[in-house]
Amino acid sequence: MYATKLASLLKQVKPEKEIYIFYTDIRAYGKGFEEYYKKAQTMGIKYIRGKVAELEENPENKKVILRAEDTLSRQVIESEFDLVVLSTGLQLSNSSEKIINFLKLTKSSDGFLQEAHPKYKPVDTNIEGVFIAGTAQGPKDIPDTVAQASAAAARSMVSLAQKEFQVDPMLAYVHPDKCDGCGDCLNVCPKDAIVMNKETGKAEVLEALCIGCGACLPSCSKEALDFHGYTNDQMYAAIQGVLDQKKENETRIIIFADDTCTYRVADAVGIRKMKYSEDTRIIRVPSSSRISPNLMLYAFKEGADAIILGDCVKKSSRFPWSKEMTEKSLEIVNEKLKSAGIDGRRVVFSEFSAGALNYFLNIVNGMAENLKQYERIKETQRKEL
Amino acid sequence: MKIPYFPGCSLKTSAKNFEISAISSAKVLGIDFVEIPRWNCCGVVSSLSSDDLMHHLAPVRNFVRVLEMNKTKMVENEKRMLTLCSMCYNTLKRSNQRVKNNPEELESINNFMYREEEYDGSVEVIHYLQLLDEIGFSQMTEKVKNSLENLNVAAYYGCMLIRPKEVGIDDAEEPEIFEKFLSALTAKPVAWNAKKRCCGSYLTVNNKDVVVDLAYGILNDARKNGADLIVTACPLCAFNLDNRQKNVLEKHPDFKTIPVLYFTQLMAIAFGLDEKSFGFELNYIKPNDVLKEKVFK
Amino acid sequence: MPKKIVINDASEEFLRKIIELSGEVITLCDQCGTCSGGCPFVEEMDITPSQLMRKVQLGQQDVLESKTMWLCATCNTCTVRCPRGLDLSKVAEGLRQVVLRQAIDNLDLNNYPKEEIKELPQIAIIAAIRKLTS
Ligand code: SF4
Ligand code: SF4
Ligand code: SF4
Ligand code: SF4
Repeated sequence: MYATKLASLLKQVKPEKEIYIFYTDIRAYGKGFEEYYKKAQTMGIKYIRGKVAELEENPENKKVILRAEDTLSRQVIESEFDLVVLSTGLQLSNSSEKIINFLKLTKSSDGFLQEAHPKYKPVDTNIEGVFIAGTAQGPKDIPDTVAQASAAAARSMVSLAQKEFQVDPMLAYVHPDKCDGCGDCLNVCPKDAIVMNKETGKAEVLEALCIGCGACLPSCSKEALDFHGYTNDQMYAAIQGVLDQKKENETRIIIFADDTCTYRVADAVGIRKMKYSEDTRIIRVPSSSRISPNLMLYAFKEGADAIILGDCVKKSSRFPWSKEMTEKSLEIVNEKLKSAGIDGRRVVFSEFSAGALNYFLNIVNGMAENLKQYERIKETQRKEL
Repeated sequence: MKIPYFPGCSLKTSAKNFEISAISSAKVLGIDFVEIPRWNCCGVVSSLSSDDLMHHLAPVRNFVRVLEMNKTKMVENEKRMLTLCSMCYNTLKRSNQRVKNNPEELESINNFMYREEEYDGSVEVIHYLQLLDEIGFSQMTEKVKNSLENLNVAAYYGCMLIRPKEVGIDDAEEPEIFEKFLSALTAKPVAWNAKKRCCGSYLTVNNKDVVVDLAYGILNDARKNGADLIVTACPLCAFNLDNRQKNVLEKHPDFKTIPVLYFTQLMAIAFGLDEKSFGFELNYIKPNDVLKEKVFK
Repeated sequence: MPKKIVINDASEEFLRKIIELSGEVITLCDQCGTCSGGCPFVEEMDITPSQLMRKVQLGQQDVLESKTMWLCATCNTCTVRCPRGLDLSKVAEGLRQVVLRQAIDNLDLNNYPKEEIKELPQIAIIAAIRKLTS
């Protein structure tokens, strides 16, 4: 459309100019656009349906030779023009990078800012209180930008009008009595939500910044870092719970299923009554990175035979760092298992998407199959952990 | 440096001048081409259909030869296969990529040629220009005895060196490796339009007129942009651009001919080698005059 | 060429076959024409490369009567430019294969004067035979 606009403006002041617009598809989708397009045609601007294939300079007169197919007449055009204007696509401006990094916003695969939800939260970002509008979110024209900006302004008013800011309760927190101020957790959080309180000498989670991934928990060796809704005590209890009734010759596979993807795919599998190994027990977690090496080792000690850590596919995850952080914990666990003589392949990390039901079955059943081949873990080995 | 070298049919026949100039000028740089024993046809023109495995056999057999050369210590731990002809380069490289990316296909090929050593996908096909670039084009500059600074050269890439993208030795739309090569040889690369335009390839057999028209366009573009001669890396391009000038002249009597050289011939000239290693007898349009005027004054 | 396009099982089958032979998702072509605009042989062709794609998309077997696929020399100019990432040279190869596999050749060297053939380099003859005969 902007090519049409520039061409019309030029034609208005210099009607003698011959203007051609090469296009692949005209998408005059907005109000009044079709009329605008028609007006340009009335003025004598020619539209050629074909993407320009080649531009070359005529060495003699320095004009531009253009080659393209007129796909409507199926003939190739080769002509000289005085000026060729490229209608390039829009990209996010370079300076936006700074803001993105500072505010820790996420980008979608097209390079523009990602909204919190494409349909229900089109002007929100995944950071509470930060809103987007206009071409930061994707190419758009002025009326759409104004509409979106108004929406963003209105959304921010909602936040500002509240006396208190409500945050999602599923967040990390610190037990001040257990924290010794060692500072191990400080640089772990990708959102920089953990700070040291100079007065108390203890770590603190800034609730307005924490987005509730749980990735920081493994960093605290004193288990002073904890998580609302999925506390350490609850996790230990859950592990014990699923292993409680394990009989002598049974096996147990524990799946730590992240809330957004793995838990949903497991749910869908259940609803469809698809069969998978009966030895499986699922424990819901905010993200796989919340599970510390201690918890995994505890599970083995208490009788687990395998652990699957499930998380979203990195590219579409709310917590894209989760995979790497989980893998770090896995390394520690593997070390320990090795020294106790337990096969390291008993713990795996896997990415699930909520729709890939068969993939889920394959991973779970594959593990169950594998377990039959590994030597059974001896009680003495479990004690060593 | 000793490196397994795949000549291909042209370099032993119509493009002997390509081979002789390449081998002798490489010696100056301390590169020793070790001809692959019992090499066979590269399989010329990559087979494109998804179900045609048979035609990838010829390339794979050549890769097996390179593995053997390493075993028998003809070369020291050198699994790169050097090519000069861009058509061979393209065909071999595409086959190599295909079998590397499709283990099952490689397995069927291996099973089929059960009397041969297994191919494990470890050979890498490279073009001589890439090797020169890797060693550093500047090494060549040190060896230049006859300055080419007055020579305006149009580097003709054609198709096979740069397309498709996964195979190309440089960017498909804005390649510059050839120009860098020329500058290092002290020649002046000219900017021109037709450097990556197809010469008509094998259509020269059954559509001679088409090829003659294409050649006319390409050669004229080089001339108009001030080139004294054209360099290429492909024996088929060389035929279409050089020998076909005869036919161009028949059609356009006012056409001004332009010599077409292999890039290695230019190396031999610049390095001051003796005339035998130029191999000009196989060039249709002789470069002697322009060289006399601009190089050997 | 027939004026009417008929879409039926045979046309679907034809499209499927070419997709399989070429390995290209032909339905992705959005007829932008970039391929035709840059094809060095387009002037000699009876239908443009993009038109060839269109005909295959619609399963129109009369595409096999066109010269276009025989003139495509796999120069890959279009391959590196197609905004949809399609390799048209593979589609042309698929079409050639359909004909060649019926043992119908597109080249008979006896049709050309002996002196001309003699002039040609080996590489040209072998390449032409590989591409144009069964
Ligand atoms: S790692 Fe644990 S103990 Fe150390 S400062 Fe952080 S919360 Fe406190
Ligand atoms: S839960 Fe995640 S966002 Fe919150 S403090 Fe821990 S690492 Fe940071
Ligand atoms: S360039 Fe690609 S998408 Fe465009 S018409 Fe040709 S094949 Fe179709
Ligand atoms: S690959 Fe074929 S269709 Fe494409 S530009 Fe080259 S000759 Fe034309």
